[in-house]
Amino acid sequence: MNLSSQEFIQSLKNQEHEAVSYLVELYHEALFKGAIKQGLAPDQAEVVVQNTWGSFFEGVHKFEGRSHVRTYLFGIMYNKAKETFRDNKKYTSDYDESALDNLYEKDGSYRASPKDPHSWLSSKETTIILSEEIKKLPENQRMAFILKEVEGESTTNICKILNISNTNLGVLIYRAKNNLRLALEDRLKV
Amino acid sequence: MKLLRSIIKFILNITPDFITGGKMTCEDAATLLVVDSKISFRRRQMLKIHAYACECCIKYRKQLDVISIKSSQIADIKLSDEQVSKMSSNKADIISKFTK
Repeated sequence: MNLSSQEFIQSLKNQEHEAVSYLVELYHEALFKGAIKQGLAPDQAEVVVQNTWGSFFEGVHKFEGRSHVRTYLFGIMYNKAKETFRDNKKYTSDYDESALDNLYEKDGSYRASPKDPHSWLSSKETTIILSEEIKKLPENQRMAFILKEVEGESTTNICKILNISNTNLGVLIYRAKNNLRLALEDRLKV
Repeated sequence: MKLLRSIIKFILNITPDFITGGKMTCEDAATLLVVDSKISFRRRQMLKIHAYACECCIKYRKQLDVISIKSSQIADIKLSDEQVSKMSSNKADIISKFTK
């Protein structure tokens, strides 16, 4: 089945069983895993995915097929996840980014050289610490970072999904990566 | 290797800005190594040279590489049997709810 074809999109708009079940079978698990990767607890990820399908089928008649169905669907899911983060205090925390403002001297050189990460690759702890630190990142940085580095989404798709400009995405990724590397330096003590 | 890097750094420092297109600092390089921004050919070459010659930027880039590699390894989430069976029933509910 060609998900980008007008025929398939029309079948979805007509709520035909074959098209609906094909789409749900194809993306339900990926949506659930995507919501968990964003840091949601499984029970909340489940609610987010249910609401995503609800919104998708309520709004599919407006879908013109300018983006891929997957991008449209995941865009809804990430927005639902964002709403959940904002509504739940347990997901919001004050993240201290002051270290990022003190990385460089006035001449643009490093105040303290980055540490050599030779032991990071072989250390089993690295992935665990990294997962923990990703969850702590500010919401917009976390979403952008996960979409780019964990999900491997293209820059164009991420900008569409998060509704941000290319420049804005660059800033988020830059800050996220620097926050993560500083956290790894601190916790792995190379 | 260190000597070669020092020589490159020295040459960069004495090369006039109109040739290099402006001095490349570690701060500039750190941003450009992360952000896919459109920069001139001359600037891109400067970035490559700086990233090769500067010890700090080499370590910085290595750190980013490790973060990318390790991040891709956390991509796979294994679901429990309970979650899989719950998911199957959820899928069936959604399909029946949104099918005419």
